[in-house]
Amino acid sequence: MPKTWRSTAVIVAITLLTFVFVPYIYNNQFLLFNMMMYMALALGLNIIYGYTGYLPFGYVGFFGAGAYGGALAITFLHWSPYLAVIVGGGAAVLVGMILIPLFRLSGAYFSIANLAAAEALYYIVANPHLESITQGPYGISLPQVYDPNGAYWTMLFILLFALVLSGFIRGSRFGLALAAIRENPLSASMSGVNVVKLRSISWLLSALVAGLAGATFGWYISVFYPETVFGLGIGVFTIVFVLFGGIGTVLGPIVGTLILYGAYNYIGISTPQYFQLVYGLIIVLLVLFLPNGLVSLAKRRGIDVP
Amino acid sequence: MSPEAPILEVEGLKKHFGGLKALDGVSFSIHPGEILGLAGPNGSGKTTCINAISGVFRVDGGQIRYLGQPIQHLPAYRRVRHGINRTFQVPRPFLGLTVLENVMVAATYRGGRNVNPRHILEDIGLAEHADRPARSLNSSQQKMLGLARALATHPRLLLVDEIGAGLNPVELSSMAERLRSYAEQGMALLVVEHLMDFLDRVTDRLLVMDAGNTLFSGKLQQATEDSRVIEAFLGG
Repeated sequence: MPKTWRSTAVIVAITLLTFVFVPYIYNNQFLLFNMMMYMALALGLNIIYGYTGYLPFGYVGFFGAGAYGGALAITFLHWSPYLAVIVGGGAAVLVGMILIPLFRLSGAYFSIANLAAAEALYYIVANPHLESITQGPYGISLPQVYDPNGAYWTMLFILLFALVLSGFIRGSRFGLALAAIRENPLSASMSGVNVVKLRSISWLLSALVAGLAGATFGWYISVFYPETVFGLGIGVFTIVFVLFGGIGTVLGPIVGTLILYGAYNYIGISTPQYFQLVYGLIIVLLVLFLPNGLVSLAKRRGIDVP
Repeated sequence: MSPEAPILEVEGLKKHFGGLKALDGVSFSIHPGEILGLAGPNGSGKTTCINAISGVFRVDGGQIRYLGQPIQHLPAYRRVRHGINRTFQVPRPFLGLTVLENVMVAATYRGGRNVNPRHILEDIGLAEHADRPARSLNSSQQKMLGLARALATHPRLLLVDEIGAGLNPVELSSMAERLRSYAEQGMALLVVEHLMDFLDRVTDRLLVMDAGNTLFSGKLQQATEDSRVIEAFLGG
């Protein structure tokens, strides 16, 4: 068994215990829920960005697609929220499939086109002409399934799923091929790697995680508007968390979210007037002195980071 | 198939980039165990030829037959799994991966039985650098790594794009010996090169290209006496 798989098992265990027992001593469930959500999103983004090298600025589009996919399954099909979460994941995968042609672009062009695609999806969902389906700009309300505890445990499950998935990929031959694609797609295909297929799989897995998280988020808050779940801020936060922790690792996105999202809430409560200043400074210092994230500190000392 | 049958037949290959005809009806064939040299002035279509055979792009006309089967519609990775591989003029290693991982990718995804990447690194002389990132290799080591990656897929046809450039005389003659030994084991090689002395030592037969066409086919000595070849290289 690869070393990465064993270290991932340890991370999974610690994460599980943390989010099971912290609620007993810290009762801000919404913050813990959001923490898990951003950790899952960061891991999901890392599959396409960290492992394969494509940075989707519009990653939030999958999150929104998941939230709306889940909400529609609850509203129109009267499905249980657990099934609706799976529908949300499926909706995001569907959007991911539609966006696969974006891979004809590379680098910043891919990122920008993906941002445009997410905005387009937002405007489609928020369109007043679709009021009979999506409620347009008036938002979704799901009082019939309101169950914050159920959503909390579901999000924990999704986070653990994202962790196991990330760890498995990293230690597998699939992960090795993704790394090859990231480093040099032409040499990867000259090594017998089916670049188009493997890249698409990693893209859809990445979309799946965001869709599951989005649907669970919609269920948890139970009242939301298009701008709540398609807000670009969610995507930007996720990207910054991944970069801060260290891309391409399993631990990086978790640690990055823990510290930065923790700091975000701490500063936001204690000294909200300095929040943007402090946050901005952290990001500037990160880009200047630690472009490969926190985990690079350990790597520099020869410590292998899963 | 019989030993006389060619492993690769290229017929009337055409490729244009906008108005430029990079390949304008090139035809040739290579037999197992043969080393075919490909020479010609800059921009004559040598690398385009390798790109076409290895599947970097689709050709605009003509046929590429490998072991008798047309392959011009196959994506590059499928051609690799069938036994065609290449090196790059400018090495393209997976810079962020270790030397061993570079070869491991090819050994893992070649399809078919497993190849031990460490054995390949020993053969190519990079075993002591196995755990270093490819980024830290110098340029001739990166060239060797590119060759190792190609060999890890067990090619039956190897397309070698200017592997001699930048090698010192000692490295050059060991490279010549190396390529000859691959041919003796039955591999077919297409060797693109500017260094005439190297071509003379390595190849059985030489093809001279100019402006997307083959000008000459035969022995190097004859080529140097051929008026069309002299004109192409020196400008008549």
